[in-house]
Amino acid sequence: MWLVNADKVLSEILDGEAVIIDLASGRYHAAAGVAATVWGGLICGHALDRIMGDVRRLHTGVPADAETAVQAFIDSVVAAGLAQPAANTGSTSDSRVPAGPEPTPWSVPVLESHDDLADLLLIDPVHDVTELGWPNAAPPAS
Amino acid sequence: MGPKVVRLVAAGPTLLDYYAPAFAHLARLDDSAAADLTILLWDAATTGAPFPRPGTDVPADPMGAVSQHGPVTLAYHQMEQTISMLDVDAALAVFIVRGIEYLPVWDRPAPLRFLLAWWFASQNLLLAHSAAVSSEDGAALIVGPSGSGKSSTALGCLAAGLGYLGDDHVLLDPVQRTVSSIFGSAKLVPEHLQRFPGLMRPDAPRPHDRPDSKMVGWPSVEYPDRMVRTASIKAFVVPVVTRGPSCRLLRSTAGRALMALAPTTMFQTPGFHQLAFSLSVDVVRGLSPYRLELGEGSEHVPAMIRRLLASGEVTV
Repeated sequence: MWLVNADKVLSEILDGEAVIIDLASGRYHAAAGVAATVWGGLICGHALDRIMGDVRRLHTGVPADAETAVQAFIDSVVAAGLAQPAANTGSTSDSRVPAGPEPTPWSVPVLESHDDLADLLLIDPVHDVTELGWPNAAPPAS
Repeated sequence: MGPKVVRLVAAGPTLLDYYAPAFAHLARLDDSAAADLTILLWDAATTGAPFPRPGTDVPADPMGAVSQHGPVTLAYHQMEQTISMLDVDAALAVFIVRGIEYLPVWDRPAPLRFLLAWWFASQNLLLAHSAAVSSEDGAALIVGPSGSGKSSTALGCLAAGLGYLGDDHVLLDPVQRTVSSIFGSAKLVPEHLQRFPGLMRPDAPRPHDRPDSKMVGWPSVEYPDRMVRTASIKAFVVPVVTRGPSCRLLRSTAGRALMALAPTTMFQTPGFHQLAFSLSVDVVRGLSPYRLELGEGSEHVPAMIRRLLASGEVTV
């Protein structure tokens, strides 16, 4: 199972699409369809078998090798720093990923990531200006 | 400002005169009126009061070093040489600047933004990174990060005679489903001046402004009859520059709307990320969002938005 870092990750699932914001990096992500279902399972603290149960319950046409694609998606979530593997001691929650009005077709889960706002967290004015502050730039290091 | 009354009390005229154009379009109440929030302002340069220096343990933060002390939020912005402090329980805020010559060009069109964002959020109101225009049928939020066509779309609508609430930050009430104008300004880049010649007279650049700085225009001064203070939200539009053969309005999703609204609103102001996200979700729920593809023929966009507000439908 995996743990989503609730201290630095905010998310909401709207109409089968998850919006995920990483407060630490400034990156934000979207996960739609099956990807949103898997993300919902991760938030609930579900292990892979229960996540696959959610996928089969909420989506149609799920292929026999779907678990491979789901695991790859989870790996991308971990690589993005949104969750981390945890000891598999069983789901921490009895929550079920909510169903939509009807099952939707299977699609390979993908994490869509954006970093266009991350620069806002990377500028360091403390070192780029003198004690007089803006607009007095510090001289370049000799 | 929106449903709230904010009192600005300044030591000396410098800051009030500097910030007055941004708020000139709002209703001015008698000084004896009860205020929901009082903001005390002064600048060190003209008052002689020394500018407080932060301790050496103030963390570096590109948007201002923010700290929380019970009900008090404090931000020291070294780049701008400003201090913003809000006591939400006392409904009292303080804003100190070293001198207006230290303020960046983007401060004057949207002054006191940190303080207002924090305080409005405590009142379950969202100072959103969004433009808004309106017709007699309601308002359209135009939402997206810088460079998405948000300001161009808002200015095009202003030029076409639609109501104008703002091109960069507007106040959203998720419960009442309204949008209110806070700042009567417009940020202008050279492309705006080329597309809309004569629409506005930008402020002259200051001696220390960078050559590539955005200019500031004042619709509140030049088009007071088109300024709208508050309107019902009827449409949520996410512009995307496609450079295609035409402009199109297409139905979008609540997830895409939240992606357009939340991150840019959250990261533009430190100290209220979680509350801003929660309020953004509340705003987006129940709205029918649209993607506005900006290609050739952008002069037709105001009419498209006017039809969307009137009928709630689009013709592609």
